Amino acid sequence: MSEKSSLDRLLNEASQKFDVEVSILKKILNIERSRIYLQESSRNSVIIEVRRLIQGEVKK
Amino acid sequence: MRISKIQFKNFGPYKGTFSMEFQKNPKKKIELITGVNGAGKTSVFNAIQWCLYGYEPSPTDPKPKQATKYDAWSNLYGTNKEGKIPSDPNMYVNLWLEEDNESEHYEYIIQRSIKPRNNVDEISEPNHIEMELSVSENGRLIENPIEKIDSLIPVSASQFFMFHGENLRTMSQKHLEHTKKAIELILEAELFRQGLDDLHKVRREIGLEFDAELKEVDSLKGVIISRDKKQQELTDEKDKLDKLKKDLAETERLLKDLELQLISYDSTKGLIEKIDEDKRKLEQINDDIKKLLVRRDGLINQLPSLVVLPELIKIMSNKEDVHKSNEKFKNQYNEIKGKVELIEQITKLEKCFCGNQITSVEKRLLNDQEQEFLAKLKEIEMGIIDQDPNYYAIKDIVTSINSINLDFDTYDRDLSGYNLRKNEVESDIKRVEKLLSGINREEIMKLTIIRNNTLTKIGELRQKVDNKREDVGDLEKIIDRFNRLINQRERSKSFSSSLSDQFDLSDRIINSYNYILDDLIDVRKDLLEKYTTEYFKKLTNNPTEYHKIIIDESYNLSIIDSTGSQRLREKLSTGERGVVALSFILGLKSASERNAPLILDTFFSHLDESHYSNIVKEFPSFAEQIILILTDLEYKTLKDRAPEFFFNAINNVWMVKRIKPEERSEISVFGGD
Repeated sequence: MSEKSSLDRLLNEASQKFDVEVSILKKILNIERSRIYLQESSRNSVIIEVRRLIQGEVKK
Repeated sequence: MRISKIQFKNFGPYKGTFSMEFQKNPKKKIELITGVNGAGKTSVFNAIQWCLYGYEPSPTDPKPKQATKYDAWSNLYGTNKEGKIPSDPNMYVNLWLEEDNESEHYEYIIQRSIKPRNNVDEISEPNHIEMELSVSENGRLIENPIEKIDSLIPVSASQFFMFHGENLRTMSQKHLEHTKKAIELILEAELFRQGLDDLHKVRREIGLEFDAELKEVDSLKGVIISRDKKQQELTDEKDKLDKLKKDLAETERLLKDLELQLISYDSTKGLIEKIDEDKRKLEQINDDIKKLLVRRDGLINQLPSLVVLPELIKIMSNKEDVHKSNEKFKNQYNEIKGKVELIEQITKLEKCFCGNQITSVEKRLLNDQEQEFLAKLKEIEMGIIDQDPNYYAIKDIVTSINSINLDFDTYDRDLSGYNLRKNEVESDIKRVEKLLSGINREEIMKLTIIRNNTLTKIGELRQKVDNKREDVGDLEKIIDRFNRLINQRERSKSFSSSLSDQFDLSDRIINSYNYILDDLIDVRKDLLEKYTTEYFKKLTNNPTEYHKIIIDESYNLSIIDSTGSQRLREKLSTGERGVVALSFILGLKSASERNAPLILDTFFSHLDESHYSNIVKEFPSFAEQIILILTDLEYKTLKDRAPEFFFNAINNVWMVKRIKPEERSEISVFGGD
């Protein structure tokens, strides 16, 4: 089994087990990925974005 | 994925533009670049790295960094050790990548360049240049080039695709640390872990906000009770208002009906008014006639007096003569009597009015005079005929009868005028009464009264409605104020509820991340063990002696031998440790699932002699494309030792030369031999 498919599998399993949409998990992962291009001092911006995403999901 | 072309200008020691095209040939995977030490081979390697990442990733610190102008600046200087300002400050490296993915063909062009900044005349420091990067995919410009490159060859995995041979030893020596970093970077476990940290922070933040909001919401209860009370009052008042409005509407409707009914009686209304007016006129005329008749009767009563008037005038004429004569005597009598009375008074006096003494002679004369007057008085009295007592009564009657106006014609004319008008009015009344016959005048009167009462009622109701509206408006204003306050709080309340959901969601995401993180590393480790073992078995001299390479929880590598015993890496020979390191790097490359070209610089110099043949033998299978940078000595050794099929796999041989005295490098294709 490849890494990508195993990650997808795990995302799907976690989604079902904890009732979280895969898209949310992927979105947060992408936000975290964007950290690669940020300075350490910009860490808060990642947290703010994660928070905003969670707020947005709840409002849906 | 393979590199199909590299083009660069003024990079490092290369002054001018150079282009290297790697034609696609599945049987010829190797591009060989060779030259003497210091010729500029590694600069080609660095050019590829700079084009992709903007810097040269450290083999010991694979964590991504930001590309800086300083890296660009040092590459622009190249071998210009004295830091001279480059004659041409424009530099670029363009890289063509192609990939066949299932049925799709992709071509990526990565272009990274530097040029002088606008308005900078003299280039003397990194800030005087600016860097540009673009990536196109099948001719379409990609919005975020950095992310695209990272998806093609992640910088974290680049150390497994492009490395110097000397780093192989370093990497094998720092195996533990690198293993862990590499696994996690490729696996994105680090991202998950950071994400987890962030989620914990977010959850903590939400929790604190939630607690604060709950306190706020508590203070809202009292306000809500007051609001609800007022709301109930408002409802009651509105009900009352509605009822009043309903009553008003009902009454107005009633009025409308009445008006409609009265409109239908409108023509008769005028007639009724007319008949009333006529009757009033008739009454007046009758009254006037009555008065006239009374006056006429009075005249008639006077008629007998007129008959006796001539007789009375005659009588009066006789009586008049006597009366006049008597009047004359009375006047004389009164005059003489006055004189007598004066004489009597004078004779009683001693002195005259002038103050002189009245003498006896004078008194005697006066007496004589008095006697004379008295005799005269007697004479007059005898002449006066007895007074007629009826004289004045008859005179009054005659005067009265004379004053009587006996104009009966005028009376008759007036009377006939009155009678004429009376007839007219009576005839009018009769005509109108005829018209009004069959109409219920009482009903009209009744309706009119009801209409007037209804109008009054409507006025009252309107006043009540206005008052009630004011009450309702006041209450609404109060409630509005409450609501504004409550809404502010309600928003907080809904925010609290949202916070509760957010807290719950962040909790579930944390659980998900924990779940994924735990399993992901295990999955990845299994894969890595599998790939590493496969490479190790191909490269080791004793493939039957070993069963499997395993990675423990601390990311330590060890080998399970054919007997099932575990051998720690440290217990292996130097050569075997090197092979384990290379197998691990190749295993990581495979596990990263990025089909990227392998770019190796001075790789063979650092290989363990005992495994050289195995590695050379397997070398073409390491990747779809291998760019091999060799020193001239390495190349010579390879020529001596490598089997023929190795050379058959070479696509191009590129020669790098150092041109003196300019100290610049040149590269050109040499041939496929």
